[in-house]
Amino acid sequence: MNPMQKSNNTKAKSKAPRRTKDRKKRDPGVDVQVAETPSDFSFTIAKTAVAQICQSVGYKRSEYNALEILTNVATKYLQSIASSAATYANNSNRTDANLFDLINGIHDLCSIQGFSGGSVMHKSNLLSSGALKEIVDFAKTSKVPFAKPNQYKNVSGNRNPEADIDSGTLTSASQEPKVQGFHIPRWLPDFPKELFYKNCDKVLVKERKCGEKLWEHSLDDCCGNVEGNRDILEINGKEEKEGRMELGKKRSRVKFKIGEKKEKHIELGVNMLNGVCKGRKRISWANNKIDLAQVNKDAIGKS
Amino acid sequence: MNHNPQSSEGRHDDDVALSDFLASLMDYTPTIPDELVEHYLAKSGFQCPDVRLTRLVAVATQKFVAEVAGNALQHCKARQATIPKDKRDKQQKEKRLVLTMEDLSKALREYGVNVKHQEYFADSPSAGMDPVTGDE
Repeated sequence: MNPMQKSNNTKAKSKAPRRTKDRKKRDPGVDVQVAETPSDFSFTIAKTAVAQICQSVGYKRSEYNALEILTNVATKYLQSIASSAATYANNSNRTDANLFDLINGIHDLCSIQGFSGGSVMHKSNLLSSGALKEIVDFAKTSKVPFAKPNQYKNVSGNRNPEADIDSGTLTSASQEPKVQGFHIPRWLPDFPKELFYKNCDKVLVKERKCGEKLWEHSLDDCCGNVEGNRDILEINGKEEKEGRMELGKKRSRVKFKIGEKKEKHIELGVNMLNGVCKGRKRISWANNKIDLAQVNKDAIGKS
Repeated sequence: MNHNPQSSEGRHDDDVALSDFLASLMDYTPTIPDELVEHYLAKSGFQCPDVRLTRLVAVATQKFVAEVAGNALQHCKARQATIPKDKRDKQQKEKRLVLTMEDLSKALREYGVNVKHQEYFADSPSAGMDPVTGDE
């Protein structure tokens, strides 16, 4: 045993025995525990997880360096599984990896040990691989939750496993339905529930005066809401037939013809409105010329 | 011809078992947190929206670590079994199961990882240096 180990062990023995994960938090004075960079942060979390796994195996204590090395190897293992699976996915012209890529990646890393069915790895079905079965067996036997309960964000948008899994189609493991649209990046938070913004809109619409509407609601009306138009017409008290936009009252025909002598008769505007134009259906400037001339004569005669 | 229905049935059973396992992964809580695994996955270019695959990676890693640690534990126990009894009783009182570099390097060697630790450490980084450079 070398002197370094001795010193480590004596140090560990001198203190009261505690659990492995506690040991890490216990001596921040001896070893620097503060995560300064994001990689340090993730490494520290990984160290906690690895320490827990060691504890579940049966270890009571650990040397600091040994734990650090094991964590390092574990993260490298994880990353090499991931990069291998990503390479397999990219080789088949995909960006998203699926279960098959992952199994291939696991095969790559398990091939050092070897596994059952490894000799016919490329001939047999990927889903019935021995390496995957070993993982399945391991998952059934060991259940060590993480030290702190972590709140899972809803990545898939659907946590009901029965809704997700079609027993027949394992190939579509990565194609579960997402609530988010595919154009929305995954790191954006979920959209708020419909209740919130729909209610808000209704309140806003009610508050508006004079029947004004937001543009998007007018769009809705145009698209499908013919009945809305009918209601509006009925509210106006007009007769409404066949749902068409019709004026309730037939408008009288109005016709103006403006000639060059218009300026002369400006002074008679009041007269014109009162006597000539009022109550008439048709107003034709040309026809009224005669009348206006008579009126002029009358006015002259009176004077 | 006779093998076809059997093999297809076997395959079907495998598929059912696998889909059950994947379904159970939805409720499974791996020791390595999802966020951590996702961080490392994203770091190495793995892109998949499926939580189950993330957890499968977590379980695979957990299995690997548990195997390595189990191997190291066997080394540790085997090493301590060679110690004579009178000395062992002394150690029995204290916790003997310590993950050491010695056991870990032996265990990792089987997995193709060569870990070597230094034979000794100097007291301080400047201990072996020239006094001039040490002052600087």
